[in-house]
This record gives sequence, C-alpha cells and structure tokens, in this order.
Amino acid sequence: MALRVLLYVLLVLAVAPLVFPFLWMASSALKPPAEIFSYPPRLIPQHVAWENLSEVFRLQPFARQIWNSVYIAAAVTALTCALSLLSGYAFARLRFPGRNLLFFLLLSALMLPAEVTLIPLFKMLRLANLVDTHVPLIILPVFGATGVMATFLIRQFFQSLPPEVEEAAQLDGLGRLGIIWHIAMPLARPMLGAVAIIAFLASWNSYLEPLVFLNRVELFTVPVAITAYTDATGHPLWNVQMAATAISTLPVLLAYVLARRQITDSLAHANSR
Amino acid sequence: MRETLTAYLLISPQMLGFLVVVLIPLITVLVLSFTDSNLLAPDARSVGLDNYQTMVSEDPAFWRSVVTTGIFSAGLVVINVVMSLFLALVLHRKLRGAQLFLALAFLPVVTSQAAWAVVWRFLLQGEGGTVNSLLSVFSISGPNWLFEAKPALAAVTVVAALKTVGLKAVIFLAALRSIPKEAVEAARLDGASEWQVQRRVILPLLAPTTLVVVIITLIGSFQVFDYIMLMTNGGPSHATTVLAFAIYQQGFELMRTGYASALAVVLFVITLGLVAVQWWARKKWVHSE
Amino acid sequence: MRRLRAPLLGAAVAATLAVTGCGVGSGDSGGSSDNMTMTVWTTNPDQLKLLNDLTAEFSKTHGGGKVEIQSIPQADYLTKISIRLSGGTPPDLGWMGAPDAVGMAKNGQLVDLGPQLKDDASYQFDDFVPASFTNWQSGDQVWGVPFSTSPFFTIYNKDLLAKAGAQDPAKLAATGGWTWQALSDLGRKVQPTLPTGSYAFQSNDGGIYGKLVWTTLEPLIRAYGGKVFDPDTGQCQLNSPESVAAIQAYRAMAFTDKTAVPPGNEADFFAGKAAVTFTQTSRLSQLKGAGFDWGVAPLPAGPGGPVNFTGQAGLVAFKGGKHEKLATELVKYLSGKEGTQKLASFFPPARKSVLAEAEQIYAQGPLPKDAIDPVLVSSIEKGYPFRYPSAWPEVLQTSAPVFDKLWAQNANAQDVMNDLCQQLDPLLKRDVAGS
Repeated sequence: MALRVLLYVLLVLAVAPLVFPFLWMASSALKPPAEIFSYPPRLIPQHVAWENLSEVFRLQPFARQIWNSVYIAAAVTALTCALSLLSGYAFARLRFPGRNLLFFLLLSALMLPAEVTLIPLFKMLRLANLVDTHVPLIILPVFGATGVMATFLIRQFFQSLPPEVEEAAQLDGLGRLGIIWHIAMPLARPMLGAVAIIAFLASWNSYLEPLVFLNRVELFTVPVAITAYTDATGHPLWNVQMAATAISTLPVLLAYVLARRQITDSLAHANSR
Repeated sequence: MRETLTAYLLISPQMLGFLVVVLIPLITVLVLSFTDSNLLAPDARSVGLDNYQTMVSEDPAFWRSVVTTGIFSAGLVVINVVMSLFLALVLHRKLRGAQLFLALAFLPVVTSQAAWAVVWRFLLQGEGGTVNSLLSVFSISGPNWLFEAKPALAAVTVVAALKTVGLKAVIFLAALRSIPKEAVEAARLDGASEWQVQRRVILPLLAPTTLVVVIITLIGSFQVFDYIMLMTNGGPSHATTVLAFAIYQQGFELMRTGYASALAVVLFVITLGLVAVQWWARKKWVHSE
Repeated sequence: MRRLRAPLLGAAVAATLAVTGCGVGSGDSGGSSDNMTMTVWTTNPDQLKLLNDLTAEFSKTHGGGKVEIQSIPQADYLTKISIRLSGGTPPDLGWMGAPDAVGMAKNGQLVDLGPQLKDDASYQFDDFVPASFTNWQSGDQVWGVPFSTSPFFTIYNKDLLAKAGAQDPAKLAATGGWTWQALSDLGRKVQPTLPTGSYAFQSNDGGIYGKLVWTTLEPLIRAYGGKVFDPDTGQCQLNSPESVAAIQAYRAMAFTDKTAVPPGNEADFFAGKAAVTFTQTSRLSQLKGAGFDWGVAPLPAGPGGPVNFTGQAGLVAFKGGKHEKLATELVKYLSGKEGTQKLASFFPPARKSVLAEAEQIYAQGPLPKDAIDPVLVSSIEKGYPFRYPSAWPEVLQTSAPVFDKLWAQNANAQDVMNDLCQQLDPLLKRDVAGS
C-alpha cells in the first residue's frame, strides 16, 4: 500500500512537467498583460481577457496561416502516402538490379539533420524562384527524411506479409498497377495510416524550413506565426503569443484524444525502427 | 526484364525527388565548403581547406559548439532514458489510471517543438517567471534561466528531453509487455524481492530496447534547432550554440554560406559516425530484429 | 483498425485542393510584372489599410499596376531584404531603419532620390526639418525620406510617483529641473515604496542590456555633454570624461542604488512594474486599459543641456527593382505634404508644415493634449537622430560582448569604455577615410 502511494507521488512528479505547460499556456492565454507575471502566480486569471483571442487574429492573418499549415500538411500527407506506397512496394516485392544499393542510398537521408543540406537547397530554390512560396515546404518532407521513413515502413510491412494473395491475383490476370491498387493498397491500410499520421505531424510541426523559405507574413505557417507575436522591438507579447499557441495546439490535442491509440502506436513504431 | 522496368517506374518518382532534394544538395554542400561563398555575393572563389583550417584553429566558437553539442546530447539521452524507463516500469504495474498518465505524458509528443519551446521560454523568465515563482514558494531562488550560461544549457536540454519522454515510455512499455511472464514468475518463486526482480530480471531483458532508445534519442538530439532559436538564440555569449544552430547563424544571419557549409559537413560526418556505431551495436546486441 | 479511412480521406482532400488550384505556388514576387512591391515590417491592420489606400490612389493617378504591400517581420527584415537584393529580385520600395539604410546606401543598393525630390518645387524639400536627413543624405544624394521621425520621451506612472510623494517630471521639466540627477533622486525616493520586483526606472524597452543599448545610451551621453563618436574625425568618444560620467550615473542607479531594472529582469513599465521609462509614441497604444494613470515629459537634461533625440525609419527605393522610376515617384507621393499628413497619425512627421497641424492630427491619439507641443513637436523640430556609421552592423557585433562586461556588478566603466573605443575606432574611421 505504502509502495502504491509512493509510486503515485513519483508518477505525478514525473508527469507534472509534461502537463503543467499546457495548463499554464491556457491560463496565460486569457490573462491581461498586468497579470502575466503576477506574484504569487495564479492558474485562474483574475480578469479573463478574451480580447487576447481577437488580438491573435487582428495582429496577423492567423486564420490564413492556419489554413496554410493545414493544406500544406494535407498535401505532404497525400504525396508521402502515394509515393511511399509505390516505392515501398517495389523495394519489397520486385527484383531489379541495384535494388539494395538504391535502398541503402535512400536510407542515408533518414538520419540526415535538415541543417546539413539547407544552404544548397536555399540556393537552388532561390534560382528556381521558389523561395517565398509553399513549394519547398511540400517537396522537402515528401522527398526528404519523412518520405524515406515512409518508404522504409511500407517496404517492411510488405516484407512481413506473405505474397500469396498477390500471386493469385497475378494469375487472375491483374497487372502490377492493378495489383497495387486493388490488392496491395487495401492490405497496407494499417501501415498507410501510420505513414499518414507521421507525415502530417512532421509537416504541421516543421519550423526551420518555413523560417528560412518564407518571407511574407501571409504565407507563414503556424509554428513560425506563433513566434511572430512580438512588439516593435521583437519582445514577445506574452499573452497574445500564448493565446495563439493555445489556439494552434488545440486541434492536434483534440485529434490525439480522438485517435489516441492509433497515433501512439504509429509514432512509437516508426521511431523504434 | 519487364519486372525491372516496372520496378524502376514505381520507384522513379521518389528516387528523382530524392536526387534533387537530398543527393545533389549533399554533394553541393561538400563543394561549397571549399569556397568563400557568401549569400550576398554573386561569385564564390575556391579557397581550398581554408574554411576547415579556420574552424579548427581560429574559431574558438567551433570547439565550444562541439562541446556544447556533446553536453546537450549526453544530457538529453540520460534524462530521457531515465524518465521514460521509470514511467514505463511504473505504468506497467497496472496501476489504476495508468492509461490516463500515459496519455498525459504523450501530449508533448504531438505538440510542435516550436510551441513547446515558446511556452517554456515563457515559464523560464527570470524574475517573475512561473518556474521561479513556484520555486520561491519553497524558498528557492531560481537563476535567470535563459540568460545565464549554465542554467541556459541545462534548461534547453531538459525542455528538449521532456518533449519526447512519452514516446520513449511507450516504446519501453511495448518491450515490457513482450517479456515472457514465466521469467518473472520464476524469479518470484525463487523468493526474489520486488526490487531484485526489477533489477536482475526485467532490466537486463530491456537492454536491447534501451540501446535502441539511446540511439534514437542521440540521433534526435540533432533536431535541436527550434529550441535554441526560440529559447536562447544561442546565447548567452554562445553558451547554447550547438553545431546545428551555428550552421544556421553562419549561413543565414552572417550569410557566410561557405563557412556554414564546412560546419554542415562536420555535422554530417558526426551523424554518419553515429549511424555506423548504431549498425554495429544492433548487430552485436539486438538479435531479435 | 477501421479508422484508417482517414489517410485516404486526407489524400482526397489534398487532391481536390490541387485540382481546384488552391495554389501551392502562391507566386513569388507578386505575379504580374506590372505590379510593384513595397515591403514593410508592420502587421498592424490599420496601418496596412492606410498604406493600401494610399498606394491604390497612386496607381490611379500615376498608372502602373497594383502596389502589393508585403509585411516581413522586423526580426528578419534586413536579412530577407538583403537576400532578395543579392538574388536580383529586390522589392521596388520599402521601409528601412536608419541604421541599416546608411550601410545599404554606401553599398549602392538604394536609388538616389535627390534630383527628383529637389527639382520639383511642389514637393517642398525644404519643408523638412534639416536634421531629419542626417542619415539619409550624403552630399547632394538623397537615399531615402524619413516617414517616421519619432522622438524619445519620458513616460511615468503617476500613481506610483504620487504614492511615494515624488515630484511630477512634467512640472520639473517646465522649469528645467528634469535632469538625470533629478531622475536618480526620484529613484531613491520611489524605490522603497515599490513592491519587490518593481523598479523606479526602466531603460527604453528595457533594452539597455541588449540590442537596444544605444537608444538609452545616446540621450544619456548627450545629456552629460558627451558623444558616441565624432563624425568628422571618426574618433570614438565613449571613453571621454563626459561619456564615462554619464555611464557611471546609470551604473549607480542600477548597481548601487538598485533603482533601475537590473540585467536579465523583465520588470516592465507597461505592466505597471516600473515608475519611469523612456518611450516613443508608437508604444503608447499598449497603455490602453492600463490600470494606472500616466504622464509624459521630455527626456531628462544634464550638464550638457536639454536632449532632443529621435529614432527614424525612412522610405527607400531599391536599386535593381523592376520599376526604379515609378518606385521613386511613389516614395515622393507618400512623403509629399498630403501623404505625410495622412501617415502622420501613425508616424510622427518631419515636415514643418505638417507639424504645425500637430494639435489637430493627434487630438484623438493617446498622447495627452498638453504634451503634444512641448514633447512631440519640439523634440522633432529641435531634435536630431543618432548619426549611424556605415559599418553599423559590425559596430553592433563588436560592441555587444564588451557591453556585457559593462553590466557586471564590479565593472570599471572607464576601462571597459577604453577597451570598446579601441575596438570601434577602426570601424568608425572607415567613413572618414572612405569619403
């Protein structure tokens, strides 16, 4: 019994720093500036400053910025699923010269820190006139580490699956593309789900790429936008910044509550590879 | 023959994109590192090994950033593994509410690094900051976290570690569930105490997973840019400038793309080394895969 | 695992997006080549609307395409503009802070507006307060027109001062008694009455320990009769007896009396945690709904006399833009008398004829009515900005670590300033040798 209590106490202590920031973010989002650093600290604001929320949308085109993040993440997700299904399937099922070499080459991108290739990418994309557009934010994850991770997972999935069903289909006269569309894709759904979650989160959370490739406020994605709530000297407007952060975190947390199992398993699975 | 053609067709979209987005830039960064390329100047001259020479012998900030990167990565791994292992071991005991705790611990994992960093920077303000206010309730006077050298590095490391504790805990939990019950039962029958069971039976069985977690964390520790940029901007006086951040600063703030490329090559070589160690280690210790 | 329809749904959504052309390529430099782009760092919707209205009017009367106003956050403004200049795709015109404009002019990145502005009598170039062009002119060449000449002034929390029984700075100022000495005395009187974590004095935006060090240091050194450097000889004068006396006066407040906000502390006037600070009109909107009564006064004077100090941003046309000529016209249009009148409600003007109407223009503004003339107008008319050397970015970079030493408890101001001057001299002399 005593052990039990002790364990609960330790558990609360360990989980507190993981949950506390969310509570404090929500509470500061509704505090007027004068209460932000009040002493002693209070979780519940004395005066609720709803106007922080409207300030978020007044100071920046935040709705548009959220939309930017949403559609970019959707595009990244769709493209990653499609490309990784094709190449993951090919690497798992087909025999062709250079298969191992090419796959090994792909894997090199998996551990590559984004900073390493950022400078040449910036120079290339500037030449192509694609800086200050959303194109880099879509193609970099799709063809970079995220896409490679997806291909790796899909390949592994097919390798663990007996090929009999597909072979039967082949006998029935389905072509390769037919097999992928009618047989392989339905079979791979669980893994595609994981891939979609990974790709969506990777895009939704990316900060370095939009920071480097975007100039204009109206093209910003959420992570860069929340950091831009500052006064004229670059000092954060804490309450508005917290409000924006809370607004942007909410949808993802909600999605997490709804699909907790799925998200947890996908991320854990992808990461333990 | 047909199969080969189909295969190439299927992988070509990804391989072409990979060529443009990863391979060509990787070769270019190597080439750039031998030039005095500047983002603001149109032409670059070849300068041989000058950038590397400068890095090793003239730029004190370089060695400092290597050391800082090392401290950061080591700290991250230790905090991360200890906390997540603890969580997993406790939650595995089928405590009431374990699922809830796990779900809460996982919240930061789905939050963006930028949001996590922004909130913690707010909590870690000097005087009047929330963390210090809470500490002062226990009569502890906290430092000005993000503006003093050692506290800043410690704060950034802990904040980065906390973000992924939930994820690592889930990985450990999965491993715990796959431990055969018989092994544990047998030890209990032999009269081993609870502590001995944990130490002698469970922990050794977790060794392969621990290795995997250490490796993921180590490699993940290079994705630190968001925290540094948003919490300390590399300061105070370079105390938190890790290599990845130095690349950004040199490249996009000082515009010295040649020199930044040389730093990037060093970072790349370090990751390659880690990957090699990982392969070797997995071969040696992790048989189950 | 039936939930897995979600990704397919996502794919469908994305595909629809792509088909309906919900553009991935939102266009780089503003689409049609007829359009002009103007960069600004404000994201204030009211200011953006005014600029959009004015430029729309301009397009109607002067031809040319639409003018697209692009906001780029201030923190990255210079970097992003520099990169665009070097890539050969600069905006046509834009805002530029005085410190950055000086270097850009020297590098030949700005269009010389001189002939077009001066030859047109209706533009009334001599309507501008001459000192306002300190950083924007070299010889006959004009590199930009200041659209915001914003004076620094004292702002104080009346409630906190009243509670301590301290004298009202505006009243002191009326008789010439508002000096650094008076500020230091006031600090010692007010500090004991404040709660922990609050301070009598906060530097401008609390920035004296960081990047904004010069906006507090310059007026302080001027008040003591010193100078940062002599523009004619390029000699650093931060280690002169006057400058060091000035710095010691501040150090005494921060480290001996402990009445000024110490390094690394966030105590902020606008949150009610500092009794006195310096500010500019653009910050006053933050006081909307403040829980305290406040007043404004000029900057404190000193042995060197009264101080009138302004910070500036100007409109420039970029070399290599696609419409250099039309961009120059737009600069002229926005900084002409009518344009200045319209912009004046947000940005303090340097045109004398517009300043004459200040009482009307600022009637609705946050500045108290009786302060408009003595604080705003007179500071602009008598004031002059900091004269920036063209090596300013290097000066900032070199001086930052040295200033860190100055803000240590036991620093010796004279030694630190000697060290600083030794490092800055070669940078400051560059302009003299070059001209």
